[in-house]
Amino acid sequence: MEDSSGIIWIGTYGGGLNRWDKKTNQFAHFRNDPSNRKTLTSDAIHFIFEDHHGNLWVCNGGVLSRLNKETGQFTHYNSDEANIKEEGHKYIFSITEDRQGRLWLGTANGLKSFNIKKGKFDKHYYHNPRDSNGISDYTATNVFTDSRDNFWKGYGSIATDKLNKRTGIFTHYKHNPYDSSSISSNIVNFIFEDSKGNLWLGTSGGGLCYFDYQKEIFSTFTSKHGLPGNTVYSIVEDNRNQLWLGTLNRLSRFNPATKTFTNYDYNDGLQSNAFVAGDRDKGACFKGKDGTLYFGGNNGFNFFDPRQIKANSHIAPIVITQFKLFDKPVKGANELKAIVFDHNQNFFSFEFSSLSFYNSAKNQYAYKLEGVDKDWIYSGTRRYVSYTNIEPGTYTFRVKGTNNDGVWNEKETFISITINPPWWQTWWAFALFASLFAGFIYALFRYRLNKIRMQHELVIQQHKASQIEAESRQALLFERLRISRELHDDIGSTLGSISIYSEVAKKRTEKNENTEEVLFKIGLVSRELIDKMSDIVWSLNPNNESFEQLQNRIITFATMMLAPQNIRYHFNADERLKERRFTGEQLKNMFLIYKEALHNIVKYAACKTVSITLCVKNNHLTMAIKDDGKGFDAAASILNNQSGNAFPLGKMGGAGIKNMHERANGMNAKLTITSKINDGTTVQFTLNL
Amino acid sequence: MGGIKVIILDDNDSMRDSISMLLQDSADFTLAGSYCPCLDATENITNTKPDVVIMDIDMPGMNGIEGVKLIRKNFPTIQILMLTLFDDDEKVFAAIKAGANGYILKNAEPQHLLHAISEVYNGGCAYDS
Repeated sequence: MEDSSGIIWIGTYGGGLNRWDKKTNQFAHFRNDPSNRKTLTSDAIHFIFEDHHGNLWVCNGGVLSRLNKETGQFTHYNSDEANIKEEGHKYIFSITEDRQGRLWLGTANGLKSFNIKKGKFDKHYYHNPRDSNGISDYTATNVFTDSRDNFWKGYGSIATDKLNKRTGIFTHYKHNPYDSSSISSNIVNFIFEDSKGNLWLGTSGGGLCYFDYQKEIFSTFTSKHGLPGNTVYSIVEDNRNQLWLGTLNRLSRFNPATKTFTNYDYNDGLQSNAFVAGDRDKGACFKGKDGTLYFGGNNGFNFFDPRQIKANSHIAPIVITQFKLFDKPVKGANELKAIVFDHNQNFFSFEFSSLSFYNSAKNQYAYKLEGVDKDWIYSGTRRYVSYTNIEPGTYTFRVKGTNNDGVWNEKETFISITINPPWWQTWWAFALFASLFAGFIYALFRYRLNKIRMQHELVIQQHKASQIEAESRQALLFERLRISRELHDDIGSTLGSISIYSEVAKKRTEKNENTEEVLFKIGLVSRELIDKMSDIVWSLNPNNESFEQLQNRIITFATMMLAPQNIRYHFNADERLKERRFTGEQLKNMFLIYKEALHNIVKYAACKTVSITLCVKNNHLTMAIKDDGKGFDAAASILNNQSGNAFPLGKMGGAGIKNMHERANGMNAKLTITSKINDGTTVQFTLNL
Repeated sequence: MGGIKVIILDDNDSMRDSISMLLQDSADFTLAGSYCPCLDATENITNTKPDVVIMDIDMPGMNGIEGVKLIRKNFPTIQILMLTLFDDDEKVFAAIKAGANGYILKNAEPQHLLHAISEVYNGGCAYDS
């Protein structure tokens, strides 16, 4: 410390107090003499302070000592009013003076204020763990009064406090690892306000911390930003507004404007790399009136004119010196601009170097593997980096570095790295997987569709089967109804009439009247009845459902009817008809129409030849019975009148034609009779198949 | 000619013919006509003015029940005797409901038929027994 008269005062830990007159380069030593109470009480000096009156105060173990510069004698003020027995807890570590001229002392047992005029301690803040408005810890290692009249205290481990002297309430600032705007460490070694009123905190483990008074938040600068270590013991500002930091590992210059650090070490002529001393790790620094900076460390102190410290402005190129794959050097790989690996070659490392050889141990580096590292990684002086388990992809490794004075070469050196994906992660593998998956889904879809279709078809088949069954049941029902109707109409009624005829015959016999007519009628209707029975029975026989049976019957009947009359006949039937199936009723009606036509021919036609033709054309069955007989005037006859009301060909013939039409109508067939006088008659029956 | 005037409506030729002969041989009855089928029954009745209509219960075209309704509507005083093959036929009951005066089975003895005609003519109900 330099006092108001330009004398440098140096406190040591174990060597007492030293007075150095820079002009004469004379040293004077003040040490403890147990026989003289006016000497130091101990040779361990924690702090030296000159108040605004010019008094020189020394923190001398558990007592506050004032040096009379004239006499070289010390006056001692014992702060131990709390009657603390343990020696270590009495220690005074730090002194500051407030605007009212009161001294504030950070001690091992709280905070104490000292009235200089009265020469007495007047206030004492002890730590009370239950008082959240009180101080945070027992030991206040450093105290500081800022230009806003706030009183700051730094402790060993708990927090940092700011005292509002009007309210007497302490605000606590604690490190929160999850909040980057919190104070960066709970251990604050040094508190400093620069010429612009900015408050800076030197911390243990948390680097340099800046306090924003307005927002009440902190910004932190650490080794990531180029600070040589994260423990800062002392801070002082030079006349060019550069902050000089004494750290555990070298001296550092911080430019608050550019936020860059330039570091200096033992090789630059410093006392050592550690700027800290004492059992409480105290740092010491001071700026003299001429701008000289003083820094104390564990091996003496340094003073220098910061204007004389010139930076090495040479911008050194950075090169990648070696590339290793699975920790084995790959020759020549470091000189490539791009490297390609397989997916399993994903453990690799780089070594790099700044080509600044002035003090190469101070060269600093920063690297970034784009795609993996979000930000630049400031590795300090470390010149290598390893990466493991990197996913397939394309990356760019970038590295930049400084020279020994921390001048960054912003022109990065880079190398492109491509890690090929395994075959199952390539686009074509994904395309294959996608198409396989799509194929699977499609197959599943088709399977389901087929199953549904099969179920649907089964339902349709079942439905069809039940429909066919219902149709065949219906057909059977119709057949039974037909048989019942025929039995009822023909057989029943005709038999009834025979019964009545016989009654008539009986009565006529009793009256001796002629019975020939009625007996003839009995015979006639009986034969007709036999014919009808024969037709019904024939149609009931399931063997007679084929066209072949009908054909046989037609031929037999023609032979039976026509041969006795000496009428020749020709029969022609389409072979394809044999493949067709007909219902019993269809066959019966066709035969009866044929039979009726043949009856009429025998009775009326007086012909020589009859042709019977059965053919299939356009899904129509046609049966034509043609004679070469005398014919009749079709125009005068109402042969084709389907209502069959009038038949001028005689009673039986007319009724026969009527029956033919009724039978054809009943099976939705068409019957036409064409005839010309002396040119024969044709009966044509057409059925839709 | 005196006696009960009768017309026959039946589609079976021999049935019509045999009843006609039976009636013609009986002095108590006069055959006014026999027709098939009964589509023109109204006209036939208007022309012949019968006392009794003998009518088959099963005929093609208009069935017996419809025929009964038609006759009853136009000729409320005419007696209608139904001819049927089976007496358990539900058509018999329907015909009676429609206004027929009685029924006789086709296989009944011919004397019963004549008797039944007389009965319905005389205002009784002829039921086959």
